[in-house]
Amino acid sequence: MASRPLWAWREAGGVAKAARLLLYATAALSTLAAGAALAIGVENFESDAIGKFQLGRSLVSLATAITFFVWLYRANANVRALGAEDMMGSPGLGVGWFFIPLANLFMPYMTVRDVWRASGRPRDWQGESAPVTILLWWICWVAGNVLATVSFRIELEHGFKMTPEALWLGLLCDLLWIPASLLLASIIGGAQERQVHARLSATMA
Amino acid sequence: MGVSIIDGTIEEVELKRRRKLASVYSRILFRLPDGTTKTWGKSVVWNDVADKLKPGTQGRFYLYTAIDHRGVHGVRAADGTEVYGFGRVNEYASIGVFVVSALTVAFSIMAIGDAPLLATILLVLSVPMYLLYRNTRVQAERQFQADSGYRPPAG
Repeated sequence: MASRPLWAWREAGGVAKAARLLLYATAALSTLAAGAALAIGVENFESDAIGKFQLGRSLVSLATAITFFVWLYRANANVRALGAEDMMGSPGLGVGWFFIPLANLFMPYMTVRDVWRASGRPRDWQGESAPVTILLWWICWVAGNVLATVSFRIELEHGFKMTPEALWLGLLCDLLWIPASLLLASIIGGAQERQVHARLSATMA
Repeated sequence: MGVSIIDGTIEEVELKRRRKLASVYSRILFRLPDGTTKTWGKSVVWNDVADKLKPGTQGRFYLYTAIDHRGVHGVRAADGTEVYGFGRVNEYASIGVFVVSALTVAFSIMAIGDAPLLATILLVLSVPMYLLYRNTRVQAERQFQADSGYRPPAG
């Protein structure tokens, strides 16, 4: 096998920890949002307090996304540094898939799945299997995003006014994002732990 | 994405299905000269090449990857035989998607003055997809030809 020492190991434990904490915060905020939607109802949904809450939530979501992408890039590069060959594309493309229409429906799942597999036995990663939690995370994530988009479109059609349909779809979206966030936090933690063990084994060999 | 080489011996193959032109393997397990193993995941292999992928076959194996599509496109076996084969199904599929989505976009613009989003995205994506699959095939051909002087040591 031709070797291409293009990637160097970079510590990703700190980024993984930050991403997990932000994902827990995202899950907590989704729980609060779902509770608020049930408690407040459509008529009171456009108060200043709700507006500020949604703004804060958007900022946490943005920080979560950036931190996750940084971790995904490093984790993808690190398994290559540990000897994983023939992985899909580059670490940059692994993040880029999230932004390519249609491809972002399945390629990010494959990227995270392969990073998980390569984190355990980098040199023979294709012989590793991935846990079903990765598929569950992806189903919850995609379904939540589809509902969020539909909810947003309904609001848009009504001049950014909350309607009962948009509120219920938003509630369902939050209920899907809670497990999606928790599952992703667990996946990041598991993959990171596997990488550290794989690196330790490679160092000791 | 690209091409690579494994020198070793096939230890196990899991054939998923065999069609008229190509075979799909769930996995192919190679034993490397240093004693370790290497697994090649779900693979599409042209049948000329697939006929050489039997447990015990020793030699040099030529592999390709294009996104999540991977396979074995050539073998130079220790018994002196060599075989190459690379399917173009994905290239033709990309051209098909391009033609159908281009027609859909063109007719929609003529009929309703607007292009449908899905067809437009498919139209745009089909071009890099075609180029990617074509480049992988060209790389595979060049790789196999460039290595034509290689003769694996007899087991």
